[in-house]
Amino acid sequence: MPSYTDIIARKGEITAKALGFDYARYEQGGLAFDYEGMMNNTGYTLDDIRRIQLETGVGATPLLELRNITRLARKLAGGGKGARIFIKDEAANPSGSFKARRAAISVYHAQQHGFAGVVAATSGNYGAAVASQAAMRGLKAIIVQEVYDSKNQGQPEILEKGRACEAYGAEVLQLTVGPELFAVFLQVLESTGYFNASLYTPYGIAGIETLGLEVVEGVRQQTGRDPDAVVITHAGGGNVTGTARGMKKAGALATLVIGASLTSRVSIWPATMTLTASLSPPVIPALRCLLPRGPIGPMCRAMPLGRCAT
Amino acid sequence: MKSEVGHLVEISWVALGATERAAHLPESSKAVPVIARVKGFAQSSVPLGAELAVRTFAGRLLTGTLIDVAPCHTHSFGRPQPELLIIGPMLREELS
Repeated sequence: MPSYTDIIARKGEITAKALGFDYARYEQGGLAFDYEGMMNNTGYTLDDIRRIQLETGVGATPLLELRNITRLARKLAGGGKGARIFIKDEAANPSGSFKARRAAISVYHAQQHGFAGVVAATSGNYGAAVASQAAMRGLKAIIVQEVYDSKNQGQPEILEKGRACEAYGAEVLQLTVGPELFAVFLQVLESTGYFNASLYTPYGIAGIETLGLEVVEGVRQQTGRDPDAVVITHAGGGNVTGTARGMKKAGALATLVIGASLTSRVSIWPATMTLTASLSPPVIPALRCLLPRGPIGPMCRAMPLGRCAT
Repeated sequence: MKSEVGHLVEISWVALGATERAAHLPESSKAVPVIARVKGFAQSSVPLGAELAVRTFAGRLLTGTLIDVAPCHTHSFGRPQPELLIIGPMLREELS
């Protein structure tokens, strides 16, 4: 393949060709970036996105009331506190995660614009989502993963995602770890002429907006009112941004949006953390008190709960 | 062990040599190349360690060193963690 410096020097050109637009168009004076302008230029309305996602079985996931967790919260939070807690079951999407929402729009766009395949550099659920959507739309998929250390030990979670991608029919290009993943990704885009289905394109963000819309619609349907607060897991920021944009478009302007970040130290607690953080802020200290009773005390005290309510 | 034409195998190759890597890497990373691996259908019959072309699931023809024949998944998620096993019963007790 071309040298690292050569291919990185041409990243703008390669990305623009593989995406159909140039990010440079939205740069303003070196520091500012016209995010809203970029999002408006995706060419897809919220109704379009919902229709495109339903074509491949994405979205319209159940909104389940967590009655036991609500009871727990009320018991532990003290008088007058404890909201009704619901969870949006995004595992009900094809490929098993909300990432199908993001992949659906990218893969549809690639299909509409005549690309023969899609490429994504991802070691997580997004790869399986791209592979699954590409399979349904008859496009080739190549997933580039950073997975092995220099002793050929692979991370089990990443290997498992690679297995899922291959089961959906994707080629999985597995690399040893390093920032050169991006260079290899660009090289694959250039040599195949496939579409850049990166997680971070505007199509990826726009695909999340239906999640915010559905949460608001579902809560209105089940409770007759808007949610007081919506807690969204926050890693790269796309999930929070897209969901909040969808909630805004649904008119839930008074709803509090809470991004819940996990540190690597507590990342083995995704479900618990989600539930913990799903409680309205005054309830959080109560459930936190529940946990240090067992041997997990020190870990719980390290939880960044203070950062959840922002 | 040899590849058989049309059977699934795994190959690897050096994607970037140690001297071709990105700048500002830790010393331990600078010392090793970036290795790529992919699974595909063997285009010829060769022994392990020999060069081989494969047709990948995406239809690409890629060439590398044969490292495995009929590759299997051997990853696991480890043994149960005692710290996690107590949570369910603890919360059920709170609800009872």
